[in-house]
Amino acid sequence: MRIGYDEAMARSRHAHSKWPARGEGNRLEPEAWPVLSPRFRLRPGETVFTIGSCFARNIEGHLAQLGFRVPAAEYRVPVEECPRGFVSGILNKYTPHSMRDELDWAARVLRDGPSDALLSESLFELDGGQCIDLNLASYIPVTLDRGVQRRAEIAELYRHCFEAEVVIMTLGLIEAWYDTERGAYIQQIPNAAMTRRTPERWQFEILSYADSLQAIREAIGLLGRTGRAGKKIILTTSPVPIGRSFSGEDPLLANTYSKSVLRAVCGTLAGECANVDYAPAYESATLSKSPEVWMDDLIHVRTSFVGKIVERILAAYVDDQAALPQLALEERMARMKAIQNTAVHLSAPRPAREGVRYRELQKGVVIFAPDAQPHALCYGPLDLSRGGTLTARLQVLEGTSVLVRIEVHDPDSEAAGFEWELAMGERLVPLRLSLPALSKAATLTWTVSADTAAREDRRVARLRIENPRIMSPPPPPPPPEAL
Amino acid sequence: MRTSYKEALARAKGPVSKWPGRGEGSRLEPEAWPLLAPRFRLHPGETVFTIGSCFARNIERHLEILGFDVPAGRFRVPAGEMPDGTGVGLLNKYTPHSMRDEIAWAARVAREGAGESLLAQSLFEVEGGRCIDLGLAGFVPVTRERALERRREIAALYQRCFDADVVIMTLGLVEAWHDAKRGAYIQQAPNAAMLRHDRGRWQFEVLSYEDALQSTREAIELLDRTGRPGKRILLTTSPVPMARTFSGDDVLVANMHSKSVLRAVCGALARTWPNVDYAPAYESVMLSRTPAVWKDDLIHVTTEFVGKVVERVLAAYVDDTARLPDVPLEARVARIGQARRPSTRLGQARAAGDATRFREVPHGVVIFAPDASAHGVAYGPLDLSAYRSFAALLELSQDAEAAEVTLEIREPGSSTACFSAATRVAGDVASWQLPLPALPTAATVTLHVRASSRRAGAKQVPRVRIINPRFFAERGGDA
Repeated sequence: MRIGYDEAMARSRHAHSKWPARGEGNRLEPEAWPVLSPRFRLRPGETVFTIGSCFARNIEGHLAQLGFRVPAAEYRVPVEECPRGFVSGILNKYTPHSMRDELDWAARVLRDGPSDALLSESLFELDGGQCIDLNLASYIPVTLDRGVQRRAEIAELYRHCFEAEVVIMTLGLIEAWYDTERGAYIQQIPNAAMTRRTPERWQFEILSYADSLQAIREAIGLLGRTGRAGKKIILTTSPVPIGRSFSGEDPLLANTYSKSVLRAVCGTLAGECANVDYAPAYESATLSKSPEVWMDDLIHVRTSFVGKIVERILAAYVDDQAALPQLALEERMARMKAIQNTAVHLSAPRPAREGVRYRELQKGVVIFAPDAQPHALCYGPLDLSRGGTLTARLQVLEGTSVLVRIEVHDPDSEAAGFEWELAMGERLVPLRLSLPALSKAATLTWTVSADTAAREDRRVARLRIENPRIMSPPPPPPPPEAL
Repeated sequence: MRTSYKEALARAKGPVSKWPGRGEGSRLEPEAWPLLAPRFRLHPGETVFTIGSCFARNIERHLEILGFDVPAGRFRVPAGEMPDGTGVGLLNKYTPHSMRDEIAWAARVAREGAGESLLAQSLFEVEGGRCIDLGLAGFVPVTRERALERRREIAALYQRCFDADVVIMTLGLVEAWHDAKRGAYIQQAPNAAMLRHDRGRWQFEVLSYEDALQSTREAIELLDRTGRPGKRILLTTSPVPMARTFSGDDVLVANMHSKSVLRAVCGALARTWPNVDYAPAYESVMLSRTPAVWKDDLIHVTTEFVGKVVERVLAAYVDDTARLPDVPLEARVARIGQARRPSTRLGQARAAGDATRFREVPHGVVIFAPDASAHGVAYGPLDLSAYRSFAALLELSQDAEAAEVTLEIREPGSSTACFSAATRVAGDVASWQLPLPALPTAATVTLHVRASSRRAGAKQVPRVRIINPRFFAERGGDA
């Protein structure tokens, strides 16, 4: 669309139409804070539905602290279903297509009711009555019953996106995975359980600009014509880069391409409708050159910087600033931390007795070289009073059969408060073990022994244990403060 | 296009497929150097045609020193033909459309010959019989004769883009200006001379992804089917942001949109042809977090960093790197610095006299709102002993009929000027170039402006912009 010279010049009269130079008081160094020009207003207390990549999760925590109702931040699954223990990470939608598809599914449930067919549409059945939900992040297997029940919960949650006053959509990636059998996109790269039987069923695709634009346009269309009329939509592009690229390019390149496509999509759509805005979180995170922006993985944006981004957005979009809770950034961060699942990493193991053969590599990786004699390592004391889920990846490197035994002891007790045993026939086992509520100062012991028969070929058995940790749900919230 | 799980997994093997964390040996901090995977090779001595935004100009100097034949890097015009008095940058093409249009024009000239109507196609006549070339950067008026001659020079230069071994295209902006009368895009925002002639003729447009993709594709196809077959094309997205946006958004936001569209276009096209590659200069500049990447204007990339970008590209694309001239980065930077006409900007302006009405906007532009009495600004004291010429671009607003601008240089405390000169501008834009005598080591510079209004008693105050007043160490080319 072309406009006349005078109109263009009028748009360019404001001070922030010019790129700032280095020096005092510029809005680019050390941190980049573009001037926002909201097309609509937000009001504290409104319901904000957040959908998108993990950056949506980062934003929603702050919004919930600042007096908005954020249904997606209230959604919980049991700790053992949380990807990496992250509270609501299961809701992450990385690609435009996965956002569109979930909204489309939720709209159909709203229209047709939560039939079994709809609730199990995205479930991929495994052996033993287990299933993986192909449209939820992490692909952790659950029972079929739980798979269907959780879909009913998500249908309930997603009703809010049609009733919310505000929807924030955070575009993450264009590297997508596709299920040829169902003819549908899936949430992320298929895992071992999915590829073991049908590797050819899953395909990889880099979504084009045109496809991404179309998917987001359809998502906005669905939100526009379902439920509350005239809901306000804020688009953001996630600054969080892709952890691994399947394009064949260096992810520094593949990610910049990915984000550029999505940022271009956001820019195109933000101009199209009066109720769709673009909030420049991506600009602030990527143009700020301070190392304080990024966590040490150089992937995730620090909670404090996300907090500043949310503050800036609200400063521009909220008229009645006094109606926002007067909570300092540090206080908000402390409260957000308090409602996260806690993860206790099992680190610094010590041998349970002399002669134990083990080696600790980086990042909580332990390698045992067991024989018929049990070899054992201890961790602790650990606070296991709220119970939790013990997770780890076990891998047999050499030898055919390894026996793994896990015991949890009270310091004062001879008898184990919890014990569990696994004979590892398979080479790779993702361990996921529910622990009951135990002592505040418990000791955890791994005992490993190798099947003697396996030693006839004179090779030493080796077992690798990766990232052992215990995740617990957060402590119960303190009673709400009187206003 | 979908690929199988196995193929995708095979592509993502190796440490380089993962985003690097903080710590030793990261290819992201402090400087970002993505791994390049070239689809073709470059050979020292080959002809490289560079087309695009000012970042193309930055790249070409390094390529020249490193032994490539770079025709666009050798192209020069008299200093006064660019607003900043440098004579460099006239060839800049900021939008995909302006690149495509110039290549299409050059292809027509190659096909039909350099007839006068083709040479004059982009010329716009302003007062006094002078012309602005709407297809070239700067929009400084020249005589029609010179404009046609310059178009002939450019036609000759652009024949090289068809017979070059390699073409580097640097995409700059999606904010474009359109000439409704000719139905063609023009190089940049119209200036006062163009507005005075016909205000309604010029239109602004933010090019869409589809349009930017289409015109870049057309440019590549033109290069492909004209002249040398199978020439290699290297796409880059310029990291240099736009200085000013006409979108209404904050320029930080508008520029990110602009660059994202262009980077997406580069990515889409680099996957289309085997002879088209994308070189990640944009990534290195944008992802590097050291302040040494940027000059103090936070717009231009330092010569050192551009030099490193070019080095990395050549390290990946040239097999026989031993054949590249062994010129260390510092030496290249020094050589590029010397080749530039060293100049000084005047710095902060202050009022010379009580009633002076002026405003200093960034990047050395002073706007006066004068009347019949003289208004002045002063600079300095400055050490002018090394400088031999002065240049500035003068621009009158629509309501100004004529203006008289005086430059005066005196030693502080002295009542007599050691140099003074005046010029009268009756048109709308004029380049002012002055040779200077030997000047003192401490001098105060004043600029006085007097103007008459076009319409007596008009409410609009006439305005005079003095753009980029600078002193140069050499005499101006056309002085």
